[in-house]
Amino acid sequence: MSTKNLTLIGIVAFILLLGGCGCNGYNSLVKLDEGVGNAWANVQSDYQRRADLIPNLVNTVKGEANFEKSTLTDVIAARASATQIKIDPKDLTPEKLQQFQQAQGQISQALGRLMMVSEKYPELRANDAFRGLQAQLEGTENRIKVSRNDFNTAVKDYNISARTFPNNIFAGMFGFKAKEPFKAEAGSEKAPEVKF
Amino acid sequence: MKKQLFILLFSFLCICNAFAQKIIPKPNPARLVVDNASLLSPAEAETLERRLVALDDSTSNQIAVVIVKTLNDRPIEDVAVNTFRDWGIGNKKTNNGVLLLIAVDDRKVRIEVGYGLEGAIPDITSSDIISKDIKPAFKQKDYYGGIVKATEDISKAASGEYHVQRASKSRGGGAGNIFKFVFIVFIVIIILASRGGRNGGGGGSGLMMLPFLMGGGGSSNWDSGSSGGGDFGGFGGGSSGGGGASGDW
Repeated sequence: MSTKNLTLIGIVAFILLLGGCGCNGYNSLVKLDEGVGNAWANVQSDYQRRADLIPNLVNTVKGEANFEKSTLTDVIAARASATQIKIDPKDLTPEKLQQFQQAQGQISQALGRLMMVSEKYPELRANDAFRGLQAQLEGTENRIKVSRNDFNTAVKDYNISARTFPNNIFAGMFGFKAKEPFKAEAGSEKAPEVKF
Repeated sequence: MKKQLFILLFSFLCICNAFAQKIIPKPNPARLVVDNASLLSPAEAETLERRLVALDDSTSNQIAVVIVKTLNDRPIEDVAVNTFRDWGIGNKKTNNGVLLLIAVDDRKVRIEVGYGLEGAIPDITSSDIISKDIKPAFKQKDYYGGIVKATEDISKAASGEYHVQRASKSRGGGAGNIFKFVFIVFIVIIILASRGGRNGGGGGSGLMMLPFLMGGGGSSNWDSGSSGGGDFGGFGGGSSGGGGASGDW
């Protein structure tokens, strides 16, 4: 009788412990998942901020006579294709993230070229509107960098929690999958070529 | 054994060094002007500190001026945002802090604007302040003049956004303390009543507690009074997301 009771208490205690662990683990995973979603929203809004600057920038540069047309059309085309890609934080698959990163990378490249070419136009550099847009663009690029870093940190925290014991059991049960962080920009991992 | 110890010490130093590069250590006690490069004279730093503290008291906007010798080859943007977040410049709720970071040997400067002030101080304003206030003065080696002008312009721009008094300054005294006092007296009376019936000693211990309880309440009141007197009350836990502008001279 007493051993039977003891086993029963033991089982109940075990279930309670497991349940408590599960609740705790589940709640912390939900919190971290929300953190990732939030960080992703910031990343997207920062990229959107950059895309919103582009029409103004292009118009200002267009005002400058005989500015290279191809540079401008590159920027416009890259913006058009990149703004079509919006990812819901719920389905941040590695493929979609890579697609997003590639499209935004094209804008970065096209904008970089535009800024480089604009160095050749002293009137443009003296133009107040252009200088203002340039400052905003620099600030936005920096914000993008910061929000990408924050996103990667949030993903790291989430992945560590979802992959370590005992949360990995509950993560599997409730469908919390590991998430993908941003990778270094294509090309930046290659060391610069040195020719003799 | 000796070699192992040496390696351990070396790796520890490396970690310390890496850490020092990433963020600038938080001053203790908290100060708004931190001059690790001795660019300003102590009197200048003190005057600037007092001005910025007064600004913090009246508008709750926190402008921190941090001067270092070198960034150790790290981008000034990274150092600025990491330092900003580690120190928590500005209020936690309103994120109304600004960090003016100056690296003397690298000849680089950055104005990092907290989330809450990005509307009042857009990047173009920060960029203007650097090119109009800081660059010309710094080129003439008038560091103090440049910093004072920059902080004045930053505060002018920022005051468009927040005019709230610091919460910690407006409280103290008042109804809350009276309630606290009444509550304590009430408890003491209950203790006295419940113990007094049995023996006198219990009543004595209840009375003994009275100064302790009162002392706790009194000292917290005294603290908030002293922080209103001119010392900086501390950073509020604000954050930033890379807004602002950088430049060099």
